[in-house]
Amino acid sequence: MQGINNQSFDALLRHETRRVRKNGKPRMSRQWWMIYAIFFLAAALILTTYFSLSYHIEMKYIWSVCWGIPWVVFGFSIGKIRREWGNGTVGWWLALPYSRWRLIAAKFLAMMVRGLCLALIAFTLIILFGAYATLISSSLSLHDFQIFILSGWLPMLLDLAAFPLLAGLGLFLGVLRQSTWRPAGILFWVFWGILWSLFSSTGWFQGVYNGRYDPLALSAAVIISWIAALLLLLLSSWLLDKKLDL
Amino acid sequence: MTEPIIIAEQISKSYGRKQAIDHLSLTIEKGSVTGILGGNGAGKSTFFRMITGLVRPDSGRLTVLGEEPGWRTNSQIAYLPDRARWYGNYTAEQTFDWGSNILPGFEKSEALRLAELMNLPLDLKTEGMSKGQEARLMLILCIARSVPLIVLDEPFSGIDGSSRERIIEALIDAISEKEQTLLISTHEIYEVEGLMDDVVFLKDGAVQLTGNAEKLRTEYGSIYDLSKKMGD
Repeated sequence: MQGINNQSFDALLRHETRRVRKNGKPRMSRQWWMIYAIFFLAAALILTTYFSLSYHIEMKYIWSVCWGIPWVVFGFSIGKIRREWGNGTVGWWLALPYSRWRLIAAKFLAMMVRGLCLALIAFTLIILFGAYATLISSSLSLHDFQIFILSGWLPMLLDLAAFPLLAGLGLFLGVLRQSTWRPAGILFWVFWGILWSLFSSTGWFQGVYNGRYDPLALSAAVIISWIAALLLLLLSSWLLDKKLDL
Repeated sequence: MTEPIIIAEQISKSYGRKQAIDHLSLTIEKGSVTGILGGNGAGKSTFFRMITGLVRPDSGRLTVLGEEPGWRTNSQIAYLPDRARWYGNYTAEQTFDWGSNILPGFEKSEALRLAELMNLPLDLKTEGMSKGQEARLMLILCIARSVPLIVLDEPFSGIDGSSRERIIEALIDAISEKEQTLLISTHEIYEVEGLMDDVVFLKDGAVQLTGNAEKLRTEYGSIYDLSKKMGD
């Protein structure tokens, strides 16, 4: 087929990785970005200095930040679909000479890239925080810093493992909202709530959080989540193809 | 001997109780410029969405370029969607690069030539463009493609007179030397009627009147006058 090859899919992927703002939304100037960055940095430095000098801080708890990153990816993924409609670009997107599967796959991969960037930024900032806290605190040693870094690998790895499911879920819900199957959204959330409660009541999430888990069960859960992500992407492309409400 | 590029046979499409397309039968000839006209809700945009596979008919048969419309046929169709906007974070130059990489048949050199003709700044991001500039950019994205079928859904919607003139000039310039089929829906009939070879009037999702533009002009004075009569 004319023009539809891997090279053009790369171009589509590059297009999807570009950050798209809501059309008509005023852009924040570079100066304001700088002001916010300086404010954030100063607040982090002051708080870290204060707590490091006044208390013996348990640095490993800062890794809890990581549990939020997959949900950020989830939100971005819903927005990735919603913005096509909101910005009036949906006609261009859906009239591209690519199968619905490729269109969804490009958005999914773009979300994975964004998630990876977010995780890397979070990882770097947390390490910097740990290094600074260790440097100024009299109660923290180099050994504490090593333990702190080692305690971060699991949440980071789980973050990366959770991205496919949360990105797939976000894209699916974004598409579902624009389809004639929109009412099924409520059913989906009920099902999701039941599943979440079930896992919570078994103490499964708490176990993973505290580092008490069966590696085999965890690996199986990750693989199942990836299969679920694939099914969600297939369902999304099917909805785009057959059940779109345009 | 003319050859059909679009054949619609008794196609229908409804949204709930609203019948958007109602047993529409129509043939569009290859190489012609056809105006699809009619009031709001006549079914023009739905018909165009069907041509590009965005919407499927509930019943009937639609053939575009000899196939059922879908993403495969879209490689040969340049489509300007109704009420479309362009991605705000792209400059015109970046948009043309995007077109070169993603849209089959897109010619960047032709796009640059048309941008100059339409006085479109290349380094300005779309979010900083006026509505008229953005409309010109989107039109270039369509007419700088060497594809057999161009479908323009309300390309002048919300555009001021001077931008409209530039767009029409560029349109005439772009299609005059190519053997492309152009389908255009517009309410600005007065300004574009000289472009049209054929005219189709839609009403309530069905063909109200169709014919050769020249013959209709002879009979009714102008397509614009005819459209006013049809609206009565």
